[in-house]
Amino acid sequence: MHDRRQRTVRGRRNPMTGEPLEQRLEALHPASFGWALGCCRWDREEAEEVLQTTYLKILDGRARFDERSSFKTWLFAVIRRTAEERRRGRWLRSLAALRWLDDPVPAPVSTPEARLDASETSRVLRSALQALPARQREVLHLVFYQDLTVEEAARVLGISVGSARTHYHRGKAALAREVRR
Amino acid sequence: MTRPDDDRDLAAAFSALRREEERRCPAFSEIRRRAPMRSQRTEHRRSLVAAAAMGIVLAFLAAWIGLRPPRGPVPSIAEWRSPTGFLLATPGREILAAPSGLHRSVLDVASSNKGRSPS
Repeated sequence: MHDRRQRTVRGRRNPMTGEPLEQRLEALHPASFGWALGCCRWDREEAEEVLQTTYLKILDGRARFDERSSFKTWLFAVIRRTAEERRRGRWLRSLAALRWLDDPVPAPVSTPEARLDASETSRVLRSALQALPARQREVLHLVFYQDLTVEEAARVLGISVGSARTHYHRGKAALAREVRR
Repeated sequence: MTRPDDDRDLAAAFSALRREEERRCPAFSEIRRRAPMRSQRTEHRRSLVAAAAMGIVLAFLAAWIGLRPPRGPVPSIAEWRSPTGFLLATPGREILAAPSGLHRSVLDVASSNKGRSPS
């Protein structure tokens, strides 16, 4: 039964391009991982969990692409929603009595290689971004990191373009202050 | 939307961060392979907990129904008295209940009306 489900999932196609959905997800995987990291405040383990859940939602048909935006914009909105759901549900998982409900999630490990890998610029930028309010951080991430327009970022975040623009300008000013600190 | 020139530094810092994170990005197949296994295990556990919770609720419900004291016989409608009936017994009601006679004191009427129900 599981194999049949897997075959169905693999065969599912994007109605817009006719391209198998899994291939579309794979093509956007590095960008999706970057966005998931941003949504999870650079908690790598959490970002991987969010991506797993997102892919499963999409391939199982629980999240459907309605072609009202680009596939990337829609996918990012699903990732963000999934990260939010997980954040909301975290208090439940943190209860000791319910811990066995979920698989044990190891704490993110910062290996020496990873620390060496992280350039000084990236480290400064990451910590400055973490100090920003969520909306500003998300808009800046989508515009500068993901090369989306402010309009597309607004669609991902489910907010008006005007509001996204405000977050964008305030975020840039706040980021500049944080970096200078 | 185009970004002004002074945003170039910011864009460069973000693309350096992107390159670094892309280098450490886990393979798509790895994430995909882990997903169904994990989901099925979690779903199984969650359904077990849901079933246990439902069982507990049903047990409590059954116990509550079983322990409830049985109801007594239903009283007849003719015996029913309004719980606010006493409010109709206003002070001095007995004085006004019957007109006084020409040669009778109002107080005599009051004493003869004593014991009558307010309604």
